[in-house]
Parts: sequence; structure tokens; C-alpha cells
Amino acid sequence: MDLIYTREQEDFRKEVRQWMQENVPAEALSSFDASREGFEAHRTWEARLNAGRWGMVTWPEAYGGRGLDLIRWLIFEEEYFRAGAPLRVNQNGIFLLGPTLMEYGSDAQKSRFLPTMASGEEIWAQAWSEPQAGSDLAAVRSTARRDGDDYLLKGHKIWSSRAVYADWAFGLFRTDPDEKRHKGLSLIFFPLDAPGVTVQPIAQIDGETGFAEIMLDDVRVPAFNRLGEEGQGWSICMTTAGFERGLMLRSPARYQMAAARLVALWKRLGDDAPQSAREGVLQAVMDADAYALAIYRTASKLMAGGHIGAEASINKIFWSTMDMRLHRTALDLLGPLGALTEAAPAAEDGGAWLDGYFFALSGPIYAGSNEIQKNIIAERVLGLPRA
Amino acid sequence: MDFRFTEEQEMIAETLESLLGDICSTAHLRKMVDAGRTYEASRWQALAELGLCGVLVPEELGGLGLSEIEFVRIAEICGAFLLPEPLVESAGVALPLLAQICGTDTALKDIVAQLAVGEGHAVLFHPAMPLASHADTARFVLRCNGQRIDYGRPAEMGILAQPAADPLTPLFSIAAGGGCSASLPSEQVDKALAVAHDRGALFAAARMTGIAQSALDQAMAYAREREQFGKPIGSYQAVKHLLAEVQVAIEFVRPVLYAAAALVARGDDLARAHVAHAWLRAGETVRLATERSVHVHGAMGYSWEADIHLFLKRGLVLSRSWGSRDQHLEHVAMRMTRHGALDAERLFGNPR
Repeated sequence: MDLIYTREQEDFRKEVRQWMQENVPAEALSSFDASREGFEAHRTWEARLNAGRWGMVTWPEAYGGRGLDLIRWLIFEEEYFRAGAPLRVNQNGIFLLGPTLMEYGSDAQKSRFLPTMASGEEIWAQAWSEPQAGSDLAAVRSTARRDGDDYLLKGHKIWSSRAVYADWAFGLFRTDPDEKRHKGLSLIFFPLDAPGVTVQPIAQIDGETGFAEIMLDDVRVPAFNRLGEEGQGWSICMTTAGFERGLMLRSPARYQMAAARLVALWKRLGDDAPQSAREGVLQAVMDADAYALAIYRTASKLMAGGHIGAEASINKIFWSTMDMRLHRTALDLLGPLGALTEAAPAAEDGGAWLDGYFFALSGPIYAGSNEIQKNIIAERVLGLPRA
Repeated sequence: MDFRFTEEQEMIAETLESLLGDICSTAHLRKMVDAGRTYEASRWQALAELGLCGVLVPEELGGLGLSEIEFVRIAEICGAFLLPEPLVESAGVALPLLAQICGTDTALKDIVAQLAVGEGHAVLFHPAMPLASHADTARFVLRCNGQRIDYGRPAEMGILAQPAADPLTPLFSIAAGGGCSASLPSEQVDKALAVAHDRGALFAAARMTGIAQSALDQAMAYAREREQFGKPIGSYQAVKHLLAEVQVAIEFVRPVLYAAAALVARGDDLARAHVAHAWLRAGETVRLATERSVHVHGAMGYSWEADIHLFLKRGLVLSRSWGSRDQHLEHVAMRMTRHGALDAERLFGNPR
């Protein structure tokens, strides 16, 4: 065990830090879920990142990356959050689908989809859930019917993050109508502006349209848009879910930064901070540390050739619980000011803590509810019998 | 930067695991409890033969000259098997302290060399650990006395038995005076005692982590076997979720624990904050794991017959050793109040 950054890793950190200092917009961008304008501003930022080859540092150079290892990805993320850079509008693409494509895609598929993903020219939404298939994802009914070299997609997807303004979506479809449940499913991409696609925005708890319903009425896509083999959709989907729950979607830097901001808030409040909230602040610092240490450990294992399995579910429960705890503490610290929105002149940090609290509430739900994760841990890690 | 244990480190752990699997079964521990014994000389001898009694003692003083990184795994495994003998107390804390302060005193150096090969054990009474286990059978008792360290044989140090919840951890208190005194400049003693404190808390955390995993393993085994309403109770979500939450807690103690060990080994001044974090997290986790395991065992869990109470009780004793919750929270607070200590780049200690 060697927990010291190498000289090269330190130099890399300096390089990222300098680029971020020179390039991160001074003014925060407006939300990518609230308006087309905010969404496009984030796309412009993605293009700038990509021009500096910072779009996705772990990807091979041929696809717009730098071919770096996961430790450097963690360092990159730390500097990214330290600089207060914009949230990644293409997170469904770069953090979830991208790594999955790398594993299951053909060379032609990788060349077609990865570079435009890295550059933000094509921004991706997720189309997994359906009205009758939430936690029970294997109950999806949407179909992909083969028609020559094409598929015809039909069905109803819901809770699709980023689908309101995004360009593409990846979804789970039933390619074999005779198979049940986890079998006969395939992962297929479709353009959100294709004929037959209707996107209906859904307002979220904070009023923004971060997700949408997608109606598909015989949407024609080439079979080239299928990732992996026909019928392999479920296991590919679980690979994607592994990246979502376990590693890339929620990098530790996000929480380390949030904990540092919470400490800053606590210090700023001084004697006005309620005594009882102090332990919550300490807990946030410890939780962020523990999560970061755990991910460095996971990264070390993966770099030595391991795979992320059910530990993804363990990580997901931890980060979602931590985020809730941290934001509850923030609101407790703020007392009556904790209820103020960004429109209130007296709001601390521009109302960010309330926004953060609302967002944290979604953590135990999305990427597979925490109850489902506990079932996975109980059955696959602890070896308890299925119900 | 590599968070994995080396092959050698894994090998030490595997060797100890397989040894204790053979000679430290719960069945054997129960026999000891029934006979009122707390120490098995043959097991101590087996540990000594692996060199484990002198892991942290420098090679020139007769030890293995390894670091806290190796010992943290050893302590975790000792916890998991509920090892009654004071390996962690002696080889993890008291003996390395003695090795650090023995200076050029040849008589003391001889004692260190003998203890390093397992000829008896040493115990330390520290302000953060006023009750020490197995002090009556110790070859050497160390006592912090303000700026001095007193040492001597148990009989001359005024120790007094203080029976505790765990029948396999015989605790003792010690009188304030008596015994002879090591002659060391106070600054050096302070530093040595501070490191001893870090080791004590770190290895207590490691043992608690091991106990937590074993307690969970016991509950899992029971939940797979025990049937109600015609099905194993482990197939019900209410039980599954209780236990899954324990595994989550354990998985987030380990990285903190191992990082804390690496920082202590390096002498980094952020080590104490990580040790405190490990201690706090391990303490909460062992409580969660043992309480839930008792609960999942149902009425059986409340019986003397089931093994789980031994894990609960060892966890209970250890979770109040080496500092209080308030003290450790203050050490964590250091990271909040010290400039730059929360920067992500200082997660693994100060930059070189």
C-alpha cells in the first residue's frame, strides 16, 4: 500500500488546475434543466473542455480522451470541482453510456458515438424506466421489432433525465416478444428528434424539467444502433448501472467540495450556528473522506484488472445517504434562512443549500432505489436467499 | 498511489487467518469461558513462531521491523476471531512504545528482544486507556505517570482486577504510584505516548472492524438456516435490509482504517484525524453489526448458548477503549479548523 501521489500525478494536478483557472467561466451558468439557453451554454462549455482534451480523460486518445488511469481521473475530478466548473450536462453519455460502449461496442460504433459524446456535439438521455417498470426494470414492455436492417421502436419511457433538450437517448427494448423478464431485451440508441418520437417534459420537485416522458411510435433506427448482441440488453444495462451507482456518476470530489463548503458556512455563521449542528458538520467531513478513500481503493483494484460488481450498490447507498445528511445539516445550520430560495435577498450561498437538499432527496430513488440496492447486496454479497 | 496491500502483506494476513481458523474457533473460546481461562499459552506460542509478537519492533531489536500497515490487518483478523491473548495490546502498542524509549539501556533492550519473540507480553496503562487487559500475566507493565513512564512487574505496580462484560477480556486498573521509572526527556516521552495513543486507537478500530464483519457473518449464516413461515428468514426484505446496511457500514470503515494506518506509519501530522475517524466509524459499525446480529438471531440471540454475545461484548469493551467519542470528534475537527486540511489533495496527508 502506497498512499502518496507520484511526482507525475502531482504534475498532472497542476496542469489541470492551471487549465481550469484559465478556462472555467467566472459566472455560473444557468441550469441545464431549466431552459434551452442554459442547456446550450453547458454544451458550449463541453466543447471548450473537449478542445483542451479534458472531456473524458480516461478515454483513449482516438475518441477524444487522454488514455489516463482512474487515479488521474480522480485527480481531474478534484480539480474540476475545486475550480467550481459547471456540472456535466452530458453525464448520461460520458459517465454511463461511454464506458459501456467502450466495453461492448464495435469499433465502428465507438468511432461513430464516442468522439461526439466527448465533445458535447451529441448529448445523451437515459430511457430505461417505463410507467410499469421502475424498480422492476425487467418488466419493460417497449418493443424493438426487426424490419430488415432496422428496428421499429414502440412504447412509452418515463423519468428520462435530460431528455427535454438532449439529442440522443439509449433505452432498453424487448427485441424478442416470446421471452420474458430479463431475457429478450436489447440496448438500443435513438435520436430524440426522429420521426415518431414525442418528448413530454415533466416538472421536478424544484420546478425544473430535468426529466421527461418519451413516446415512441414506430421509430425507425438502424440495427447499427444496438449495443452488444440482441438479447444481451439486461447484462449490458447492469454494466451501465454499475458505472452509475458505483463510480463515475458521483465522483468523490463532489462531496469533498460540498463538505468543505458546509464547513465554510459553519465558520461564517460563527456563534449564530446552532451547537447541535456541529456534529453534523463533522459527520459530513468524515463521510466525504470515507467515500473518497473508498473510491481510491476501488480505483486501485480496477486498475489492477478488477471489475466493479455489487460494490456499486454499496457505494450508491453511501453517497445518497451522505448527500441527504449533509444537506439536512446545512438547512439546520441556516435555521429560518434554510427555507429561502435563490430569489430571496437574504438567502445564503444564493439558495444553493435548498437546491442541493431537493436534489439530494432524489439520490435514494434514482439509479435504482436504495431498497433495490439493499436486495442486491443481501443476495449477491451476503448470499441471502431470494424471496 | 496504490491502495492495495502488497502480496507480502496479504500473505501475512492469510497466514494468520488460517492459523486462527485452526486454533481459535468459537468452540474453543467457549471452552475457555466455561473453564474461566483467558489465555492459552500454546496459541501465544504459535503466534510467536510467526514472528507476530514483534511485528512493529525494529529488526536490530529482534523484531520484524514492519509497519502499522501490516499490523492493521493483523489486528483486524485478531478482532474477527476474538483472539483472547493480548497480541494487539502488546505487539501493537506496549512493545513498540518500549522499543522506542529504551534508548541505550541494555537491560531494557534485552527485555524488548525477549518480548519481540513472544517470551511474555507487555501492557500499557495510558490516560486514554486506564484499564488494560491481561495485566496480571504480563511480563512487563508500563504506566504513564504525567511526564514519566513507569514500568515494572505486575505485582509491584498495584494492579487490581476489574471484571468486564467480555469473559475473555480480563481488565485491570492500576495504582497511581509505585514501580520504577524510565529516565527519558519529557518531550520524547510525550511524542512516544502520542504515537502509542494513535496506535492504540487505530488497532482498536481494526479489531472492531473485524468483529463487525464476524458478527454480520454469524447473522447471515443464521438467517440462511432459520426458517419461519416456511422460508429462511434471510429471504425476507426486513431482514435483508438490516444486514445489507451493516455491510455498507463495514465497507466504509475499511478504507478509512487502512489510510489511517498508512498515515501513522508515515508519521504524517494528519494521521491523528484519520485515526479518530476510523475509531469513530468502527465504533458505530461494531455496535450496529453486533446489535443487529443479536436481533436477527431472535430469542436465540439473547441466549448464552449462541456465540453472538461474545462478539457483542468484545465490541462493547473495545469501543470504549482508547479515547472518548468527544475526544476523537475533536481530532476530526482539526481538519475543519486547520487551513487547507480539507483540500482534496491532502486527503492522504500533507504534500511532500
